[in-house]
Amino acid sequence: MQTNEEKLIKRAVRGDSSAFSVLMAAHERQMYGVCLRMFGERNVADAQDGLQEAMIRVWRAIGRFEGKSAFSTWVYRITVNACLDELRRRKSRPATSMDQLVDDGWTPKDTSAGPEQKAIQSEKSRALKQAVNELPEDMRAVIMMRDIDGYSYEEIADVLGINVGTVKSRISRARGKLRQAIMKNRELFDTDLV
Amino acid sequence: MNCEQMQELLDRAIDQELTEAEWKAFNAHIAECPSCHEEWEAAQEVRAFLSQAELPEVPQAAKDGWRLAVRRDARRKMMTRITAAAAAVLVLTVGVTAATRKTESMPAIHGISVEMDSADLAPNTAMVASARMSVVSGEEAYSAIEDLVAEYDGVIEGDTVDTYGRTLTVSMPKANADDFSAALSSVDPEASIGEIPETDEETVSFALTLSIAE
Repeated sequence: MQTNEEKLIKRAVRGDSSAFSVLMAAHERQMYGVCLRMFGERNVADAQDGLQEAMIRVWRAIGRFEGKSAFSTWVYRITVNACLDELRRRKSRPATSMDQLVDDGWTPKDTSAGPEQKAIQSEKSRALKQAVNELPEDMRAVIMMRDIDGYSYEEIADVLGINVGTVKSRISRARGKLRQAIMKNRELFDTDLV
Repeated sequence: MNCEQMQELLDRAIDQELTEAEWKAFNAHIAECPSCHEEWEAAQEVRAFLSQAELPEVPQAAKDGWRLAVRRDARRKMMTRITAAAAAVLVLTVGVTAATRKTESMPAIHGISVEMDSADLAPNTAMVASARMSVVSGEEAYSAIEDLVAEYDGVIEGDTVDTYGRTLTVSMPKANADDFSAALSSVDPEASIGEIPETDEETVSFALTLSIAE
């Protein structure tokens, strides 16, 4: 028996844009998160354009979805590559700001920490967000896929069309840069935090 | 273990992929090496920061934007298909008109108007309002319309030919009728679309008449 998702995909393949809208409602938040993280903290407009571009690409390609992976993985791959294509086309780095704190996809969940702890966490978050935003887009993509979205090295290699060794190398270098951001500012964060 | 060896294991340690023996050596080294200990702590903080990132809410403008873009793309694609089919037949039917007008077979048509009108209603169906579209049509355009009906889960239940043209009787889920009408009107911008009347019935029925243009 077909799942609801399979029925919606079948209707979307036949050109039913209403069915496509229902189908993609379950994925748009994840896709928007990818776009926001890839385009950077201040580029909300770019992230919205990125989401639209990714949705159009999924819509036009849905007839080629063969079910070899989960639909969500297939959609994720298209979204990441849409963002990378645009960033490479621009050959730009996202702007960064230590002043602006927006809901940008890198913000950790709130904790029950006290005011002093929260202030320290806030500074730490800013420094790490800046460091993430300063990563080259290829490194930002692999860090996002591995350390936020939990994809395996093999899956990341498949999404980006590169070999596993290159994925591991990029992740290693990206993590190294982020560790440096923490250690450089450690005196600001030095507390009795565990 | 020395610092260089610790660095080689660091990413696998972050991924929680070390063997028991490797963990033992790793932990022993960071216990006695302050700089490697500091780096390991930093690595854990980075991992914690990244793994706790929340998915942001999608702004309403972004939600509306992509939906509108997809609808436009869908209509553009349909218009391209019907126009391409019509253009192909136009080449074939130029000059072949009056001689076939009164025959029982499918007329060779070089100008078409399509009317949606009330049909003899089958049980559990409701009437839809009228709409009008113009295409240059023939057998290939009929195929395009047949495909369009199928895309909206409709069924062609009747197909008759007379001196006025070819009339298809179509049944379709009521929920799809608006989108189907919109798809037809995207081919002819001057098409007038009426309101689908309120009905409790789940299926609507209408006639599509491919008639010879004046």
